[in-house]
Amino acid sequence: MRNLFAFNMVTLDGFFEGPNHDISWHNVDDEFNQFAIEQTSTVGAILFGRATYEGMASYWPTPAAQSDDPIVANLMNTLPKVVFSRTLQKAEWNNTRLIKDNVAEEILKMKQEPGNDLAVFGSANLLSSLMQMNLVDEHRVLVNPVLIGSGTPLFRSIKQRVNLKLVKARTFKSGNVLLYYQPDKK
Amino acid sequence: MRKVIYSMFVSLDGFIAGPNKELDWHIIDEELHRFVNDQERAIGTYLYGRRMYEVMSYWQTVDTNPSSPAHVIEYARIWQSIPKIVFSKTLKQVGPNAKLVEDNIAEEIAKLKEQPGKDMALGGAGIALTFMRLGLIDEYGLYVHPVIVGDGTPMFPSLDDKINLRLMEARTFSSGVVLLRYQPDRKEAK
Repeated sequence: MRNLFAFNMVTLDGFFEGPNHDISWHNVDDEFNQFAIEQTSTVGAILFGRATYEGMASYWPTPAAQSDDPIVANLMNTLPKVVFSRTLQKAEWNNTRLIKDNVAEEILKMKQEPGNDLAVFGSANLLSSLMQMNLVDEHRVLVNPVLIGSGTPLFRSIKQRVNLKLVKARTFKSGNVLLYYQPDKK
Repeated sequence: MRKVIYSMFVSLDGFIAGPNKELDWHIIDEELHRFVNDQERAIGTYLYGRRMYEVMSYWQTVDTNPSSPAHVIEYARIWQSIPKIVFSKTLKQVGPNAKLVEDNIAEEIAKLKEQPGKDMALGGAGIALTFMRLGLIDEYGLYVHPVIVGDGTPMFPSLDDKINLRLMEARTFSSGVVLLRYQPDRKEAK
C-alpha cells in the first residue's frame, strides 16, 4: 500500500497563505529547489483541492515556469494529477483527472494501486477532509522564518485534537525548517 | 544591551493554550525540563501579562511538595529567584519578588534594556502583542509540540506588518518537541 503525504509551506504564525492568496513570503533558494525536485521525484500522483489546482494549473504549464524551474515544471506537468471538486467543470491541465464525489473511496483505491507515494500540495480544505478520514500518513511542514500577521491557517478546519509523532526535522540554510510528522496512532 | 525573549510552548497549529485554556498537551519530560531550567538560569527578569503571571504563580509553592521530582523543584526555585514585572491595569497587588507596572511599557522596557544584567523573558500572548507592535522583542523561541490543538489562544497576534526573521537554532528533543529560535531580521525590515 502506498503512502499519502501532505507538503505545505507555512509562516511561523501558521498561515499557508496571506490575505488575497499572498505567497510572496515563500523563502526559496537553490537548496529548496533541489529538495523540491527530489521530493517531487518520489511522487506517483498529486492530489489537489480546487483552489490550489487552479493556482498551479495556471502556472506550471507556462513559459515562465519552464524558464524559472524547468525540472519541477516538467515533473508537475507530466505526473498524474487528481483534482477533487464539485464545482469545477473540467480539468485541462495535462494528465489530470477530475473527481467530484466519493473522495475517501477514490483515495483508498489509489492507495492500493502500485506506484510511488500520493502527495497533497497546499489544498488546505482537501487536507482537512483527508485528515478527518484518517487518510494522511505523513505531514511535511516547511516553516518559513517570517510572521505575516494574518491569512489562512493551514489547519483551519481541524477542530479536534490530533496527536502526531515527529519523524525528523531538517534545517535549510535559508532558515526554513522542514518538520516531518506521522499521525500518532497509539 | 539586554534582550527581550518571547518564548512559549506551542502546538503545531500555533496555539499556546487550547479552547478552554487547557495545557494538557504539553510534553514536559525530564529532558525538556532540564533544558528549560538551563535556559531560565540565563534570565534576569520575567515580563508577564496578568493572565500568564497568574498561571506561572503555580511555581511559587510547588517546591514545598516533597513528592515533586528534583528537576521540577529546581525549576520552581529558579522561577522564584528571578524578579518579575507584571503589566496590568487591573491587578491590585502581586506576589513575592514581583513589581506591578500599569503604563508606559515602551519607556519601562527601554530603561530595563539599558541596565546591565541578564536577558528578560516575556510570557503571555496579550502582552506579546503590545511588545511586538512596539518592536521590543529581540528573540522568539517556540517549543513546537507534535500536536494539532485545533483552537485556542494563538502565540502570535494579528499584525499589520510582516516581520522577517533569522533562524538561530532548531533543536529536536526525544519527545518530538522541536525548539525553533529566531531573531528579527532588522536589516530586511521595511
